[in-house]
Amino acid sequence: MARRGRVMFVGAALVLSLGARQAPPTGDLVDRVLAVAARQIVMLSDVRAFLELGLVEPPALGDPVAYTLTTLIERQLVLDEVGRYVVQEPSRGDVDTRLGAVIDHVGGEGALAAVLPGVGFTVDDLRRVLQDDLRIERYLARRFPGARRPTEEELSDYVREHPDEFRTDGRRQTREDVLQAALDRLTQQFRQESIDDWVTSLTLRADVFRVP
Amino acid sequence: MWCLVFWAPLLYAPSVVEAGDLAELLGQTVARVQVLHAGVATDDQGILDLIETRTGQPLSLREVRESVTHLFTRGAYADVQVTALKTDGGIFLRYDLVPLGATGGVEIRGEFGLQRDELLGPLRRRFGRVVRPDQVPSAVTLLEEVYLAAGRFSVRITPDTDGGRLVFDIDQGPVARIGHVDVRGVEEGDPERVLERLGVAEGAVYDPRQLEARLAEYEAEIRERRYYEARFRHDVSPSPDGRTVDLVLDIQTGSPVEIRVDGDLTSAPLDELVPVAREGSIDEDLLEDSSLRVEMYLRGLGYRDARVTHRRIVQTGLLSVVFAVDRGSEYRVGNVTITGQETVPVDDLAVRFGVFSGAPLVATDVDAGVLAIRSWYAERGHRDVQVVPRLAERHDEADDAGLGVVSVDVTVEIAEGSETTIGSVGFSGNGAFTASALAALVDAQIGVPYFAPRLAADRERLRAHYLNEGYETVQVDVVERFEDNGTTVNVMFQLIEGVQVVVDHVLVVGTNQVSPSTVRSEMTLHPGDPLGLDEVAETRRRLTALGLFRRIDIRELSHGGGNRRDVVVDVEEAPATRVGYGGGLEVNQRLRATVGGAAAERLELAPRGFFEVGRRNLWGKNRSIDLFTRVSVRRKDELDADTAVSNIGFNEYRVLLNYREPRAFGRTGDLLVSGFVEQVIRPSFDLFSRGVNAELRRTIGLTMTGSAGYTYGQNRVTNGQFQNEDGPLVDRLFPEVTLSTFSGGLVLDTRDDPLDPTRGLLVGVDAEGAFRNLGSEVGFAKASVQGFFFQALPRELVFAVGARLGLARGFTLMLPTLPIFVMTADGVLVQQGGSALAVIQDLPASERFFAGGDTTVRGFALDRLGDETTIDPNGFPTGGNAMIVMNTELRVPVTGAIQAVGFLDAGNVFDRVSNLDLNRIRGAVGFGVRYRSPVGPIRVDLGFKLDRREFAGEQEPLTALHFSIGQAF
Repeated sequence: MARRGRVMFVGAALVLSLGARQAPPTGDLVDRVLAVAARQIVMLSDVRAFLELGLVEPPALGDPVAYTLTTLIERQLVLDEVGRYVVQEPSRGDVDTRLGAVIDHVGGEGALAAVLPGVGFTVDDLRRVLQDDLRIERYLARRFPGARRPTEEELSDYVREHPDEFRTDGRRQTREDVLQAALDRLTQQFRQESIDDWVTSLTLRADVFRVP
Repeated sequence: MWCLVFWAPLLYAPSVVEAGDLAELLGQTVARVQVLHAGVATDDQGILDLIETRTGQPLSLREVRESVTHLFTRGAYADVQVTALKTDGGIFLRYDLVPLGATGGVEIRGEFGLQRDELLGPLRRRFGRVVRPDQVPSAVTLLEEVYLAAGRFSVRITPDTDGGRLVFDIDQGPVARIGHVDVRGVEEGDPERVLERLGVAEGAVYDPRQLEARLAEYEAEIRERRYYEARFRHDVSPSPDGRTVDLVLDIQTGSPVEIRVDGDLTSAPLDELVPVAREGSIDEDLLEDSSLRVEMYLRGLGYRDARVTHRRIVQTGLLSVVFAVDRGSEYRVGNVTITGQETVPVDDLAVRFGVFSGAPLVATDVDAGVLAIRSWYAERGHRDVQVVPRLAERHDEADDAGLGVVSVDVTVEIAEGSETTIGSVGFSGNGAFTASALAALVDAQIGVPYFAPRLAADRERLRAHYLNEGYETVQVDVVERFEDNGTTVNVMFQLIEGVQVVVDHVLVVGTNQVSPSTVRSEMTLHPGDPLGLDEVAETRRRLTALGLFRRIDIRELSHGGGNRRDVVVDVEEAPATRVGYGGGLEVNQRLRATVGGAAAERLELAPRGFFEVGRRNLWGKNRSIDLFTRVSVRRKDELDADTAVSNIGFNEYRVLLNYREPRAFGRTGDLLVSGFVEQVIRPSFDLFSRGVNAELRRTIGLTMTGSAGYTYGQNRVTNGQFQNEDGPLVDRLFPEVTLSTFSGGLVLDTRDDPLDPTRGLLVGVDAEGAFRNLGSEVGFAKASVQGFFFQALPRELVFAVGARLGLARGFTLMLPTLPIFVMTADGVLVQQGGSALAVIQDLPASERFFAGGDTTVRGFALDRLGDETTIDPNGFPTGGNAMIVMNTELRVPVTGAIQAVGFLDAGNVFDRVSNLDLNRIRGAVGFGVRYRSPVGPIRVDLGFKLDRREFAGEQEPLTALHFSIGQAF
């Protein structure tokens, strides 16, 4: 009896399994939620859109999706912070300039029109993304107007470690030009480090959920 | 084999589609859309409505994105995945909803030690109903902070899910005990005293909350002894295992503080100007404010050069704060002259200037007067008006009469300038609304005087209008172009409207017992409507008014760009069942029958208790049912003939069952159906009532309520002091009367606080009628009008005035009386006279007007207001068909929680409406005290009669004392 019951159960399970096969297969993943940051969702189609439109530059090595997702999460956290302050809205001309760069990246307006439906965006969506990018830049320019001045030692180290950056047509630049260029680059580097630290602190104190 | 069987469905795990493959799918016709909830197909229409992709339409990734956003916004899913399969018939699209682990709420388990509410409460306050997975780390941190505050340093918290609930497994770890104690800031020998005072000992359990409370109490005690710099703190260093803490008690008492004034500050309210004792602090900001306050006080008296500084003088064992006061000379206004005005009478300007000869010269008054004149001109288009005050001291009169008073002549020089009027008003950039529609919104019109603030207000009005129509990025600028030497200005409102945002979906999240349709029926935002600020606020107000939710969050969610937004209404339901109970003590002066039958006023105490239980949101439709019961211990006036002892017992009670149906009869109004049983001991009679009542109540606007109702019930009057041959016939013929009464009323209520109003108006009109042909044994009509007005005055004073008028008329009822029989001397009953008709025109006692008591005329005991026509020979009130009551009251703050009141009340009760006579009004004055408690003001009033009269051979008592809760009116 017990054996008969077990056989029936296995049989039923096999029927169910075959039934599952006969049901419409699950198919390909079209879209899904990848993360929630600052109460906004980040979707797979967002990642695809940023990659295809050249709005993010993933490193040559590594997983571009993971890199883009992290970038989008951080972008959302920064946007949330920007939204707390009054930031001058970018002009239509500024957005047009950025849009032009995207069009160039994808290979023309026709190519853009072909790409956008594939990532679930409209031109207005794209303009809004570019507008938000500009708002972020303006906010950062105001919050991080500059950085500390590098010391003489830091300048010397930088010049010594990056000799190729200070050659024009194979000839070494003048000392004044070299020092000025090193000063600009180091100042920019310090500023970027400050911004990165700030973004890291946002990430640490925000509620971010990456869907497994 | 088993594994193969049960894992078989998972072999179909979706693969991430490549961009090229996706492009192949997009644009193809969707053949079928399926939604799986936790792997099971769902036909929940609330979910299906959120899907934008439709069968028979081309597959659009944008619509997929919007659908995912809608679904995720419900807050119920940890993930939403969309998969597509190309079949012969088209695209088979599947939405797979992965339920959020925390939708079932949050639970804690393990050795958590603390009260459950101590842990769940902060979680609820911070995260609301659901802790989302992304919030779990923050939730753990929050719980750890709770344990740290409780002195647990090695708590272990592990989040988990169990049957759809988020569960925190907690091991609170060992209790921390106090290791070494270091007391700082006290002299040698005193640490032991401090430790004893704080109840701290080595080896004792470390309870930071208790220790902080004791430190605060100790500090407050020290500060009351003028140690205003006292600062008691504690710090701990826990051991690595969290079992012991080294404790540092930092006890800084500082020195006692004395406040001294160096200079003449006689008769100044120093405690108010220098509130050091009240604040218990000598914070430098407070001292600076105090110096400034004294300076302003003196300048307000005309000492315009007054200078006040303060300094601290540290002496051994004493800190003196010395306010050095240099009053300077006293200045008074001499002559006031206004020059240069051309278009306005000088007297009008003098009134606006508000500085008059002989008054103290106060610079701020002069500045305010100048500003008032300048504003007055500016509002009339004189945008370049110049108003300059010139002050000239009369040195010859200085030191007048040796008093050191300097007279100052004040001249106000006015240069009016030309008047500017608006020449034209235009709008540019408007597309959504016509210029004429916008013009109707602004005050600016051709020919109207130019006034810049008025245009600014117009600009804000336009902006608000656009915002309420969903134009969230609208910009409005005002461009003014002056012409004709500045006498004309052309005004152009330049608009950048932006995009109108409209509601896409309305998502209701968090409902459990409440039907989402109940929430939706209260919403003024609907799909397709503009997303306006006012509508959001109105929706919130309406949902709050339901009383069903403890938290309401309305947020908007943009998705995929465009101008459509989802409106997410996230609610947290309040408990459905309410239970309340309480007790109290009623103290008032009441009439009681003495052994001889005459009325005497006595102060009576009546303990009372109540219990109520209610269930709201019946059947998810916000219907409610409530049972209220109350009982008071009070004695009846039934005197025992032998012992003359009154009966004390639960003689007053009330049982009330209420059922409320909101939006009954097609949203006409709220329907309330009640059943009641009640017994009340009144001064002249005991009243037992029972019956049922139905009332339809409708709110009209924000402040008006209309109602219509019907009551069927029986009133039985017993122990009536006037149920004798001298009393009204109706009370003898109808000791128990059945009444069938229709009523209606209208109330306008603009008060800021119903329990303790400081401003606003309450006006009410009520009418009711009982008709014999509709089941009433006695017919009558009754109306009352009442009005109360409250006005806040400077210094937190409140002036309150009220009037009540009640009028009633009984419908004539003729009843045949029984024949009268007389017993003859030989013991035979003989009819004497035939039966006659008894004519009844009075109202039953339960329906007549009575006055006197803590809410009407406070010089009189309850119901005792009246005169010879409404007070019977024994001194008991019989009530009447008309009543008038007037109240006036001034409420004066004394301290933070105490309020003093002076009042003047007047009124009377009249037996007939035709006898209503204002000359027969009786008055009372008095005073009282209010204590602002959490349940409303606790009130004590003592009223004095203005005219005492004699009833039953006794003069009325001079006073009446009342205790109650809530203001008198």
